[in-house]
Amino acid sequence: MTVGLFETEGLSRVYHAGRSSEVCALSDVSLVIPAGSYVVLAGASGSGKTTLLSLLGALDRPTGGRVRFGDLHLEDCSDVELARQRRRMGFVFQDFSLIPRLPIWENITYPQIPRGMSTSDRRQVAEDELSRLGLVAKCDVVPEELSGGEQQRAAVARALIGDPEVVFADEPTSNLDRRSAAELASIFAEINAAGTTLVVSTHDPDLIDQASHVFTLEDGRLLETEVKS
Amino acid sequence: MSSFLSIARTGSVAILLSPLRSAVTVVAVIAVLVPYLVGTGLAEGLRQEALIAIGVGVPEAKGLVPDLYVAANRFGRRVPIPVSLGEPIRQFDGVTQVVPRIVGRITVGKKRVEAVLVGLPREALQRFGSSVHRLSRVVDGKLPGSRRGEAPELVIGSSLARELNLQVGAVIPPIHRSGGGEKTPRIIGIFESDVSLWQSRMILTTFESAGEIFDQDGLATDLLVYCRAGQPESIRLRIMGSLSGSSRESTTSLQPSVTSRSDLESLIPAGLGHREGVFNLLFVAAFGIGILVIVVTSGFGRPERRREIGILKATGWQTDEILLRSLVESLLLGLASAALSILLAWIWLNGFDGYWIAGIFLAGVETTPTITVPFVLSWQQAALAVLIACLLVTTGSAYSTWRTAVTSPAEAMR
Repeated sequence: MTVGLFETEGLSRVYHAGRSSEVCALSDVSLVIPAGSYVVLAGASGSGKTTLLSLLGALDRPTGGRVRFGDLHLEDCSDVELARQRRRMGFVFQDFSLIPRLPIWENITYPQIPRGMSTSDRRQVAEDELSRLGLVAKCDVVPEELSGGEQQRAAVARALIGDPEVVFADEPTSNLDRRSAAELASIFAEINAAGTTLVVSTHDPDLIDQASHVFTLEDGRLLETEVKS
Repeated sequence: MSSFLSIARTGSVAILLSPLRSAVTVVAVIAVLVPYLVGTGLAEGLRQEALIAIGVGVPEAKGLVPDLYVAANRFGRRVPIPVSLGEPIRQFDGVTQVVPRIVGRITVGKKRVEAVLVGLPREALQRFGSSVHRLSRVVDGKLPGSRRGEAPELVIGSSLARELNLQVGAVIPPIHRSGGGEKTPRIIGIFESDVSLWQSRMILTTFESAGEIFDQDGLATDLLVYCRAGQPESIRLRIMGSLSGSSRESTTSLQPSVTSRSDLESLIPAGLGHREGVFNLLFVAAFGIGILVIVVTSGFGRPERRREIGILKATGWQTDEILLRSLVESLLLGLASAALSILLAWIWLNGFDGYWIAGIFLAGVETTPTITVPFVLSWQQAALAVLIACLLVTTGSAYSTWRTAVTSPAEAMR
């Protein structure tokens, strides 16, 4: 029996339950994600990839089933505990989700503020991380002045800055050109090579090729599990 | 503690992250607060001015402001009082002086400007003139000394002089045609009227000239009675007793009315309080509307803000940390709004003489006051402004922030 970093059992998520607009986004999904793996959630639009990512990342609560992260069952956690668990994770969103008008160095270190990190330390950490991603020259620039690829790299920097155990990425290349998408794929490979678990929802063949585990979803159900050697 | 301060600091940064929302919120608070500050500033200024006018809190006015004001009523209405009634009062033990006074309304100049003509005996005028009492400071010319039958000598307020373009030595068209024939009054002095609201439209002359102008020989509007310390109340009772008796015997059947300075002191807050009460009532309604306005205006950039809170939650911020950030933001916006409101209220009062609002508190004052209106903006009003502003912004934005902060990050970011 495999003991993973994440394990789900009969996981379901129904939106607007009991109403005429009820939508079953995820149904009875059971899977295991080993620590240090590179997981891709594949499937067509509306197949439930983002919903599954949100439930694994403690961004939402399931309406049925269980989801375990380490020793903790997320469905039983309080809101405070969920927020605490999210500090062990990093997120990269499809639309980058940077805070407008806030300089990049502030943006990527914003999650560190409640953890008591001083401004000078935040600045230093930001410069280190941005230089690793080739973005140090844009430290004081606001997101609106960056290209899509640069914004996505900044979002990756924000996800990595707290040394997370796992990084989630939701369709990270769908808003990028081919070159930026290839750069991002290479960054993800580096992150995973350094031992960080990566869970990516995508249609991008380059990212799927890099993955160690591919879970294919269809209509909210787990259709296929592929574990590469 | 350091994380608490760091989170609080992000509240100040958040103001700049949503500039439109911040600007609209500040404007909404200012729209509610500035008229309130102008109104309360005027009410307090008028109260203090009225108290000064009856000598309360003015050491220089000791001995110059009467202790009792004796007037006459007939059919329940105020009528002139015979000057001769002052003679028996003067004989009462404890009375130091009885001064007859005429106060009447006249129109002056081609513009037909309404003014209040005050006539006092020459010796009483000299006493006022030689004093340092700020209510009657002559800045140019001299005090009137015209006698019966002579052309009236007038001293007018500087604001009235400006309005009618009059200077010392100028004559003004006849303002009366009494039994003694036409008289051409002459301006012989100008006093500083800007220091007191009550003198802004005042014209000062001798008692005899005022009597001739109004053609009321031997009559006064009221008698000003000066008493020794501690005796006004007993003298008041004596006046009431003696004048009521004499009135019954006389054919004119006048009813005396004696008002003490303490009566006036108690009447001032009541009179002003009524207008202030009406104003406050209007403000309570405005306050309620203000909260609704801020609730609505907090919708400016709401999707962006909702998303921002979602991002914060997704990246590990907790609900209480987000609420602290929002509270600091609201308090700072409240402080900024209050500071701007106080500044604008001061400009409204000082630069525009309480334009429009002064008319609520001062009968006869038009939308654009031609007089310098008194006002007081105290630290208590400033503190109240800060409190109201913070309360408005916090209550207006608290609910929407809380609702978003307790929503799951996935939902908030959707």
